[in-house]
Amino acid sequence: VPKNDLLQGTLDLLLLRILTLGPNHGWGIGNRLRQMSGEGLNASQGSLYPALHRLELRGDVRSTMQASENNRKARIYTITPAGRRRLQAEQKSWEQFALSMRRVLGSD
Amino acid sequence: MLVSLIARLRGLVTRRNVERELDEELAFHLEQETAASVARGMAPDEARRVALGTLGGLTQTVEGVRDVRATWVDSVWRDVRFAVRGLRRDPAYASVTLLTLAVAIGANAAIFGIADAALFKPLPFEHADRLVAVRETAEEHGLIPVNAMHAREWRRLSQTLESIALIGTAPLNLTGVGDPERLPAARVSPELFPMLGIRPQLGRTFREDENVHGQDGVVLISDGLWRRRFGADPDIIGRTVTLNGTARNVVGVLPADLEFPSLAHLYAIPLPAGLAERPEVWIPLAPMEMEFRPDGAFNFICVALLKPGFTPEQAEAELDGLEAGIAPELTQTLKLATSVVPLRTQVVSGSAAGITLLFGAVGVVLLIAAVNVASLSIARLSARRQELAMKSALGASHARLTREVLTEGLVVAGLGGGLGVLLGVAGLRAMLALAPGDVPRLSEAQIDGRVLLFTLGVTMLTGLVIGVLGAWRFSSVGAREAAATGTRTTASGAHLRLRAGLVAAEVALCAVCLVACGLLLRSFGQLLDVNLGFETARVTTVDVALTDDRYADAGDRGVFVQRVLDRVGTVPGIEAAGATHFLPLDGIAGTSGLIVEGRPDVPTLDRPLARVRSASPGLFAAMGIDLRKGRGFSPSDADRAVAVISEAAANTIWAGEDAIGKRFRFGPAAGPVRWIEVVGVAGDVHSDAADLPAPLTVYVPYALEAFPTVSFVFRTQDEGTKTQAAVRDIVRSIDPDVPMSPFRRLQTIVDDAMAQRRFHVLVLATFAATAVALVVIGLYGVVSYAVSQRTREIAVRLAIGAAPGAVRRMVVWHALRPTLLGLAIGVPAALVVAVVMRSLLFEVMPYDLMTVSGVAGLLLAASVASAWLPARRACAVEPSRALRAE
Repeated sequence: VPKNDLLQGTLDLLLLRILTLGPNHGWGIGNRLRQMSGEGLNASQGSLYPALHRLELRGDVRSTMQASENNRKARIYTITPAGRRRLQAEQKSWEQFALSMRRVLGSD
Repeated sequence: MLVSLIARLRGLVTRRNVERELDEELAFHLEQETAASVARGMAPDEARRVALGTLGGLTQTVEGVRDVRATWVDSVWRDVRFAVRGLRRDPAYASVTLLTLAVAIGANAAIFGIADAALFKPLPFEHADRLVAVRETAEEHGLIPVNAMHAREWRRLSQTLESIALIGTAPLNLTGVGDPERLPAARVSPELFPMLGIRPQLGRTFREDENVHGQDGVVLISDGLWRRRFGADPDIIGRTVTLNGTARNVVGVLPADLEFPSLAHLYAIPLPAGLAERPEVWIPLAPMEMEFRPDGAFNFICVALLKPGFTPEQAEAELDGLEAGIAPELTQTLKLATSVVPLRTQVVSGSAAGITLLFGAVGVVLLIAAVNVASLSIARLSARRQELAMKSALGASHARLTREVLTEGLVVAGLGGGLGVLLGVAGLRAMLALAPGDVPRLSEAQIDGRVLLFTLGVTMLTGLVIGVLGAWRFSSVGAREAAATGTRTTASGAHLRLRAGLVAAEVALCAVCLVACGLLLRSFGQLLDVNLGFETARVTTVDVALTDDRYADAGDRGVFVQRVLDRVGTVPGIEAAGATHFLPLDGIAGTSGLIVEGRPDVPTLDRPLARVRSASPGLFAAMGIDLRKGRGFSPSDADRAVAVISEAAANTIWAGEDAIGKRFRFGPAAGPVRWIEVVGVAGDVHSDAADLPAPLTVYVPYALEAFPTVSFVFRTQDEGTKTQAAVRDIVRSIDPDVPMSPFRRLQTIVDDAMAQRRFHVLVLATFAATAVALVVIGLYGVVSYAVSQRTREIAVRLAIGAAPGAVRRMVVWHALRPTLLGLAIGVPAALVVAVVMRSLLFEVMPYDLMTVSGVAGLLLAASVASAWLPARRACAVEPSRALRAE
């Protein structure tokens, strides 16, 4: 299972999906990704944070600096309506893509 | 898109915040990671270590986020700050490079200020791109001013010119308001003002019906005169002023910002200083009948407006065709034709070559400066090899490092350019003070938006040259290779070759600059050696204008001049005094075609043409003009038809004969024929210009050609100014109403005539000296570097018994090799430039051996001198210590 080299664009999709579960900080998002993929997927900080900032610049997520549980300042990301729309659109095309992949690989 | 823009803009404004928040965000991540590992049962220290293990990754994360967030402004700004920090860490490098660039860019800004005003800026008139100057040409005389009758026919028949205006020079005496004053003035066709789009600030310009003799009692005045003499009187329109004794109605005041060229720059041939200035008074042309002769009176400036879509060449072809119909005889005998050029070309014609040369030279200085700085920055890059290699290893991309090097070049140039603009302002001020008055449109020269834009462009280019050379060097070595110690020697070899090549280029450029400067210097020297034919020591002159009605009669003018001279002769301290109406080197005197007794008559311009100067009996003594044959004038000659002619005239007109006793007259024959007898032959005087051959000259007694202006010339025993006051009192006591010019020393007139050359030589010499200094710095840098690289080798050589002399020779060779290479390229290039600038030379061939060998010698000497210190250092190497150090 590829651990670091997620397909280009897939990471954005995964991050948006995780954020539909509720606002979260970067570490929490990374953690969720590991959990939800059954330890199968792991985004390094080196790609996680740039991706989050890129999503913010694109307007798909919003972020605020908030005091966390142990009173440290943490950046909390929230998905925006635009982000949800993008997630929906890209989820469809991803499923299409995955289906096509399976057909081709399955017929082998 | 918009969201993204806002986010980025916010990032720009709150850059500090974004960075701090990013730090906090990642610190939080680290803490969570550690806490999670501890929770999984890892020892806290171990957990911390594992989390910190991603520290390298952490830097990459920061970079990654920055890359996402960064706008180009961000990254450029970061590179700029980085470059500035680098410069501050290296003050020696920073000060040398910034100073070098500031001087070079400043000099460029200043020269461009002058060149732009003179050569590039459109004339400040409407339709400036369609304005042309029309001149006539005759085969033997080149350009001549325009004949009024010809112009009248052009106006009638031309299909290419929309409008044609004539301008005549006519200084006028203003009397009746305070002190009498002689004012530069112009007689102009009424078309001139609408054609140039000049609208008066008060009143109107001339009407067509005022362009007729007898109905022309009107005058326009300049803003300056209006303020100076009339207190900016708003009711000036309709007031009467007396000019040359004639009353004229003021009909208008011209605008304050009118930048009308001085008449000297519009006239096809040189004009005396008194006629050349910017007019302050304008009267209708109202041509007189005698000015409509088809074969004479080539007296006028002609400015015309092309119809849209026509070129000056087309107009010239058309006028040439018309000319054949207007003056068929002259077009045959004299090859009379026309010359039509853009008006701006005429205005700068006297200075274009010189200004272009200075502009070129200052460009060369900048190139040398840029190459020098590039060479220094390459040296610095080599010193930073380790740092760059480290960055490269830490993941900085090659493109990123290249960008850093480029940015540094631009930053250095930018800072240098900023300082340069300040220096340019000071430099332009200095040059305006130094520049001769006859550089056209000097009053329009200033550091304005155009100059700043030019400087910005030059600065960017300089930065690119520096940056690209540096980046090229950087990529050719390669950061990784640079880090490896094993390749040190090859790297430094390539480095040395590159810098030596750059210095060779500098030497070549410098040689071009030096040869140009040397040729001008030699020309100037030759010019100073010209025997002008008169003595300037302790000679003072003053002009008096007898243009008043009271002096309408030539006899009265003669009486006035004689009375002044009689009394000036008795002033203690005055050795000799005389009068003439045209001083040498102060414009070109009137020219007459001589009709020689006993020879068939020919058309005017085919006759021997001679400058006519009046001379009182004492003039030859006062000016130190030799009498070669016969006699000079005596007081009894005042009303006799006699002449003293110059040697050139005698040898040309009466070659092989004795001129004394021969007779001639001026054409055309009006009234009774009066032959003028030659009584003496005087030495030649280079009166047109020091670098022009002495013209044929005919001196006649003042009364014979009684011109309305007179220059008194007197030689004093000492330099005292007491005699000036005495002369002024004498003139005033004889007639308090005649305007007098300020006193001028004859030497000043000679100096002024050479001022433009002196200015060129001075500025070019400054540039050349700067270029040499830069080359010496460049050579020194290369040789020093070579010595530092070869310390070990030199130590070995010394240890096994090499003589210090041999080592010194080896070091000097490092400077000589690029110098010789540079000379091999530079000297041929310089000769090409020298041929191009031939028109600026005087009595010096473009391939002047003395100049070229002098330049080569100077550069070789400079290169040996620049190697001297490094050579001494090399010989002082202590073998044992140097070898241990490695």
